[in-house]
Amino acid sequence: MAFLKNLLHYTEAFIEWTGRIVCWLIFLLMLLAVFEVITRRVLGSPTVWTFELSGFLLAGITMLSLAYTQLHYGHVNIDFIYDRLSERARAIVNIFSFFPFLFLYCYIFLSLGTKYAAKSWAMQETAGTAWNPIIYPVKTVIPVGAALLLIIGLVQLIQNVAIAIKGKEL
Amino acid sequence: MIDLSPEMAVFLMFSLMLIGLISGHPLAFVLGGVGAIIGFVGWGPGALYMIVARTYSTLTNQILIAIPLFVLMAVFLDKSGIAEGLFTSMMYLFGKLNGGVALAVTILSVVFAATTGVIGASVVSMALMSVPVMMKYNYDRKLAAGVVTAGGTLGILIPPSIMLILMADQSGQSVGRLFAGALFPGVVLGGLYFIYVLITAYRNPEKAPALTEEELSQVSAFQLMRMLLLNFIPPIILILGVLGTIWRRGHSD
Repeated sequence: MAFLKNLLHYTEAFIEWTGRIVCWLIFLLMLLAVFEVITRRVLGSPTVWTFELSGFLLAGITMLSLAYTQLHYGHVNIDFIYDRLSERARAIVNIFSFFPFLFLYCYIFLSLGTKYAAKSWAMQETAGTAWNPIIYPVKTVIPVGAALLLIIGLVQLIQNVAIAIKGKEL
Repeated sequence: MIDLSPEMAVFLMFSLMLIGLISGHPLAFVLGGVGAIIGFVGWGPGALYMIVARTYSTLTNQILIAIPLFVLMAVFLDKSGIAEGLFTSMMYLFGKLNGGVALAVTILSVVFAATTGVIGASVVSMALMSVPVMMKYNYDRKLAAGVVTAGGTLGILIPPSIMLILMADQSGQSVGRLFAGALFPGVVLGGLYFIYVLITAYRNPEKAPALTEEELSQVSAFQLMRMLLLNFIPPIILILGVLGTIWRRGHSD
């Protein structure tokens, strides 16, 4: 039991750190947007790569922060009934809603996302635009984000079972 | 794979969605999960591939980049304390009038709406700042709550607005044009809130009393000017920046 408890806590700490690292991407995105405005509007000579690169950053920010947000139960939800439940009832509802929704989501993006990214790696896919960057690293964030989400989903499932049985987290 | 008629698919999706939403599960996974389940049941595994492919194109959508950036801007305004400073200076500015605090909230809502695109954040921070003050002065509870919540909704109308960015993406319209179209109605609505509070407070001073002399004398005219300038300049720069983009887009599209 102590081993399980440690494992859960280390995993939570790991997800916490992924969030703390990924959050810096948004400042990079901000700087890119400022750079784009200055080169386009002030200097009048826009670069070919800023706009596209900011799209790739958006993909990274969104997919890689999914797990961190779930760790803090921060995803937008409708809580007008959920908030009135007791902690134990909430844990039981969570256990049942994890499978058709969160885990299904993880499964699709992990299994099919991996195939999707692997195909892109195999043909060394590029964007086909003027800048023509490689896009397989960007496609890889989909399965990676889903894997992180699956990890935290499993941790929370165990924690919810613990709450439902013992009334408190491990 | 079951042969689903369109009506049956819609019915099943709505019922599953309602169950999911009531369970308090994150909206994103409920909507995605329902789509995937019905897609798999009705159209087979091919539907799931479509989800992944669509996800990639949505993730790298150039229009949607604006959303995290606007949220970041709202966080900056909130954490830097500018919002609080703005509220205090507006409160003292309108303090002599009946309903001064409510008027300050309305003006602040317009400024907030013009600098951020989200509702939630501005309503929460405004409620935290202004409701205790209004309760201290025995404002009518309905008026106090109404001013904060109604003012908060201006966030989706006055550009930049995240809702309009999503609408632009879905309908293929130019973001700049939607912003230009929503600007005037938004400002008119804000103005109507202001006039409503002004009239209500004038007719029923007990519902929304003015600040006391004692409270007003805490801040001198010079201090008030300094506070106003200090807290107004950054939002004004932001507002001009947004209006500038609308003007340029409006002319180039």
